[in-house]
Amino acid sequence: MDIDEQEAYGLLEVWVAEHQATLYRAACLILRDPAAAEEVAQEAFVRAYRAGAHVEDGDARRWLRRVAVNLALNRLRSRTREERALGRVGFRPDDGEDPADAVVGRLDTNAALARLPERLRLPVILRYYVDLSEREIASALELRVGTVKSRLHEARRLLAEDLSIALVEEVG
Amino acid sequence: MSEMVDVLEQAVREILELEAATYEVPADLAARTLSAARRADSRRRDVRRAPRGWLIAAAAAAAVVALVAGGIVLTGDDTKSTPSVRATQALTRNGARPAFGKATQDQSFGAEGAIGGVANATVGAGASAAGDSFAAPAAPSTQIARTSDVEVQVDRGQFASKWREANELAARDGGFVVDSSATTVRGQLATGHLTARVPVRHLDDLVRDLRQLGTPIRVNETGRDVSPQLVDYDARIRNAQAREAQLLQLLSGARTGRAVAEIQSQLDGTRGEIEGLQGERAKVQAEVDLATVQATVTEPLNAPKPEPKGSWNKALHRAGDGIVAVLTGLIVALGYAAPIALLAVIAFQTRRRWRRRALEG
Repeated sequence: MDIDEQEAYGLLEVWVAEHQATLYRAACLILRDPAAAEEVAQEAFVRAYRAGAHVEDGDARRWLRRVAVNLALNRLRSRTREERALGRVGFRPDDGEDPADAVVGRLDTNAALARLPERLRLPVILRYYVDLSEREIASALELRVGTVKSRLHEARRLLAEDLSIALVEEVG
Repeated sequence: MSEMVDVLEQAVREILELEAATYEVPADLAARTLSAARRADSRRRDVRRAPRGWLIAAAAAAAVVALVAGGIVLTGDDTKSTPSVRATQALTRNGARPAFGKATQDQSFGAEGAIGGVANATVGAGASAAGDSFAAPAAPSTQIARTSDVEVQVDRGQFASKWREANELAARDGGFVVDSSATTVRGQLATGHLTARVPVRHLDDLVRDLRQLGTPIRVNETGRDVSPQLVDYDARIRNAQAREAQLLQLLSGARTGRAVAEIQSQLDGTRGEIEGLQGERAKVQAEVDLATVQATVTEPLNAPKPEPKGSWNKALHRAGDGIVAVLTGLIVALGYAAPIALLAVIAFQTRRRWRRRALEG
């Protein structure tokens, strides 16, 4: 390992320490599958390491976020396609409970979020957890910026309704 | 209004943070990531250092393999058969990207059957990952625990032989019967239910043969993805093994008897945990390797009577049916005719009496 590579490896260690937990959790929120999220969280960093000099240290967070989100969304798309294809031939790949559901089910707080349809849930995660801009979300989800804005608006409206209902129930 | 949006956005952020916090980051994820990066780096350097002649030879070999495989795919009838197609689907399902060995693997899947494809797809995924210049750890292939449920109705009088045959089918090719029970209510119904475990590559063959025992009433096939469970067990086993290694290291440096006893006790617990986890993992893996088949064979009261074989037998059978049909028809005709005949007799007698009186009068 020469000096440049040692530096790159040292940088990678810093990135992993600083960002991996957040990226792993973001992938978990998107995929609801910890095993797949682990792979995404690893792959993003390996790609960053391979990209080496192309990733500026100051820009690493943004770069890693974008790569991890794209990897997670690609997996989500291929999983959806796969499930549809299997559904067409009458095959049910997973009759058992998703281990992630057990975690999701434990929390009451996320019930409102879990009730959102996928098309609204993803922009909400990308906007409010991953902290992407509306333009970045549009690019990641292959949508127009206007569509992202309207989906976020709709999601906020539904969440507001849901949360106020939850509040009333709590008070009552 | 804008304040309300801010409050709502803050609430959503908090909800997301709370939900994200429920996903515990695996303790060894960082170490695995760094190790994967090192592997990627060393592989890249190896590729850079490889002599050009080797690259040319490898490319030529790959081209030959691709041409041969392509020839097999184009000329082989197997490629159109369901098993091969399913094997390819299994590869796709496992997320395996095309590798040079793929065509050959497809062929072998075609020969071995669809379920073999699922089992062998692991090889395909591994080969693909190994051949990929991007050396992220190989994605764990999808492991499916399969279950089939078959119910067939057999012809009248054939329950005993078909039931025996079903048990024999289930026990062949490395399969075994877990549970088997049959009930016969004299002259009314005979039904048998068996549960068997068979090597997953023989599942399709068994289901096909069971269906051929009679008329299929119900055939259900389900699959349960146990990959997350296996990945979870692997991670927990790795963690426990790392802990065990650390404890062994501590034990070797322990000076006092109390310290040795304490570490030994923790070692025993960790070893027990590893064995327990390995046992549970093996149990889940067995669900993937051995598919479960539930078969029900029934002979109901109104089961169709078997058609006799051979022209003489058929003729005699039809003649018998004809006699029965004619006699049945006669009885029915008599039933209709009897009241009419009775009325005719009464009318005839009445008329005779009336005419006799008229003559006497």
